[in-house]
Amino acid sequence: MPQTIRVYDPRTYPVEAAPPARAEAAPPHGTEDLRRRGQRLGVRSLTGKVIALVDNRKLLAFGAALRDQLLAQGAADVVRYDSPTYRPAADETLDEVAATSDAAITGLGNCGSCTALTCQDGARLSQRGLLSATLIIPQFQFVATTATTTFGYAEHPVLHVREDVDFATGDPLEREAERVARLILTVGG
Amino acid sequence: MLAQVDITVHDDAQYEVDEYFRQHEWSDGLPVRTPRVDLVDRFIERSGLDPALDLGTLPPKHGRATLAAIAVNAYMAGCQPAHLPLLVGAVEAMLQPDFNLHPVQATTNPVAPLLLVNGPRRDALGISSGRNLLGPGPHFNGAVGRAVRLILRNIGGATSDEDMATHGSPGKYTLCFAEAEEDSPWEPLHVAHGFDRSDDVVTTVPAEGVLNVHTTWGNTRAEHLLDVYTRAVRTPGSGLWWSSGTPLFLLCPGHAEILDREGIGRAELQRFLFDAARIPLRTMPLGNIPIGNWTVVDDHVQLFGKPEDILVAVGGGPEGHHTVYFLPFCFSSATWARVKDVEELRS
Repeated sequence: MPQTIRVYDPRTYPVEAAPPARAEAAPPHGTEDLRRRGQRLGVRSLTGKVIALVDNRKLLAFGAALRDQLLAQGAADVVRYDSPTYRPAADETLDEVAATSDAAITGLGNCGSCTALTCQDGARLSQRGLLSATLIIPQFQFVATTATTTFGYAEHPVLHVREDVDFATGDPLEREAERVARLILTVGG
Repeated sequence: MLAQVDITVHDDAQYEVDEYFRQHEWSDGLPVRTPRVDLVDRFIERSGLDPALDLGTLPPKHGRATLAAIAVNAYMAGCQPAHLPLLVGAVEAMLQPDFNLHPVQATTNPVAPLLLVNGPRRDALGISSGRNLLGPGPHFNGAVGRAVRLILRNIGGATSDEDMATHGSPGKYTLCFAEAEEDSPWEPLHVAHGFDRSDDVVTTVPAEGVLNVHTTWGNTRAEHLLDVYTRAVRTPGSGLWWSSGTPLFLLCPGHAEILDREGIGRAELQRFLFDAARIPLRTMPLGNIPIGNWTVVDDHVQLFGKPEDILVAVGGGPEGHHTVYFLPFCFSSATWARVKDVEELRS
């Protein structure tokens, strides 16, 4: 005979904020995989604009290539800011970025913890009124969604980069940097 | 207020409840003690604690760590009501900024918080410090350690969509033991970190796996131990790139005695290990990592920040055969919290 047992749900985190497990596959690499949700960078043209790269020390050679591509596509300046890899960026750093930049890219999220923190840095820049987006590899999209949602910025733009970007070299690296630079421009368009 | 759920069971209630919990990721995949509302309420009542006690939120999903929520997960893990103050202390320790809990919860590294218990109530709480303290037995090491993990999953939200560990670790099921204070020639770990001997203290250590550091067959002098300890401490895990972290050497009483009789105490051992944990820069793999992420002194990469970061404790079976080395998770540091008694927690 069936019986009913009343149990406590052991969870206290906001369940509605959690994405369904494995419900959404990462979009194929190379497609327009930008998540156009809500806020856009608003940088229709990079010409004359100052772009901040808030680097958690994982952008490495890709960060340098991305900077070159952003400049090649017309940015007035691309300024790198250092942030800790596994802790939030300092308030003073983000204040300076917000005061001196037209837009900001944070990154790179290529593991669970750094993805959460670099996404939150991007959301904190949005709180400061600066248009921003965060670079992650697709495997950590769930982490990014949770990080930005629990921070109150569920619509924070997240840009996917190829998963081997932190050890790519030569032509593949250059092509990815060019693609992402154009993607940043497209977000604004 | 904790949510309640009605589960309809048929022929095998325990199995059906476990399957419900497993599919909803409310458990660690192993069977749990069913947190029936009436039984958990009684469990909390017997603890003498206020279910509304609020310790704050746990990352990454920032669920609220109330005493009630901690109690439900402790009950599921197989704890007794008397373990709740210990678990409150563990949560307080993990919420300290130096522990940096969010990376611990979400990282790809195989890290789990290790809970090391000191103080006079260890034995009364059934936390073993002797043989097989990391393994199964009639002690409560497994249940208390498991409660910590369930708290981190169900309150912090480190479920499969957030916990990005590439391989994970057995420590992510349970990792808890006590220090063998009476069998150690040195002051207990918590005293070395400024607590009174009469305090009950939990040390939470972000630990990546465990390495067997073994000597036997006539290797009975300090030099033999220091040789194998050197080999272990140069296995840095995630600390390879960051010159930080707080590893733990857990010496069997026999090893501690060998060192002590040759005049090597905890501080001397820490200094030795700190100096030994320096790797010639020319031998480090190059990769795509800027050298600036390391601390380099005299062309050697220094694996740790200071000697005191290398924790040393005593526990396990008495024979002088084994030390175990818990590798550091370099983005987090060990933290300490005094275990408050029931009267303090109620006030």
